[in-house]
Amino acid sequence: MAQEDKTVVIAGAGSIGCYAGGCLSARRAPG
Amino acid sequence: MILLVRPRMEAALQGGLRITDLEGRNRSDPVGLAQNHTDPAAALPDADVILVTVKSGADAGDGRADQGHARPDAVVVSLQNGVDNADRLRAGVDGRTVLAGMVPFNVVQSPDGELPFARPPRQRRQGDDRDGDAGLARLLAVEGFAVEPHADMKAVLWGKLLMNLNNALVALSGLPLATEPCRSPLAADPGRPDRRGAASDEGI
Repeated sequence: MAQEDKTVVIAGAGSIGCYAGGCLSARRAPG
Repeated sequence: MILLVRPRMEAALQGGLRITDLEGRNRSDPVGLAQNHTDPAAALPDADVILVTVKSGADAGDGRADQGHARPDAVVVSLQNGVDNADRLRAGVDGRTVLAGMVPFNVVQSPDGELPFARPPRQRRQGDDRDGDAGLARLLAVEGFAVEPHADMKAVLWGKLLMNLNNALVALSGLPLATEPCRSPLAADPGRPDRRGAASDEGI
């Protein structure tokens, strides 16, 4: 796939990666 | 790139997007470079790749409904937490390619809005390693945000789940994961100074 001619949609952008509690602890100090 | 977001997030992005990380990257996305939509019917028809990052509970409704707006050849990648989201998305569509992926870090929205999104450093997203997906990994990988194909995503997803069982202890103790292992019983063993290494030795 050529990067320049593909469209990527991120559905639900802004909430990626966090299990319950993870965001809270990351706000205190990333780890 | 198109961001399919909730109305609240669309409002937050009206001034553009700035992304930082702990390695010092600081990228600003001028308004208009990334398109923002709240309507799947507007966001999905042109998609070649759809990264699904909604919470698991939203799959049954939003996930399948969203895919109805996408082209049949659009590749869907579930980057959701949990171990069976890709399977459930796959079961809801006919013949569409649905892959599993894992993001090993949190994207944090700054509470004061000054640094809208940030992530910890030195970690890679991982995704299904299947025929033809090497091109997908190259497409998704950008500087500071590498993608690593993996042959056994179930194991990767279970690994993240096990690591995140620690979240409650982190939140309650106020000790970040980077600090906490130094105080753990495993850290007291000179032969195992790194609890993550010890966990890895046990196949986690």
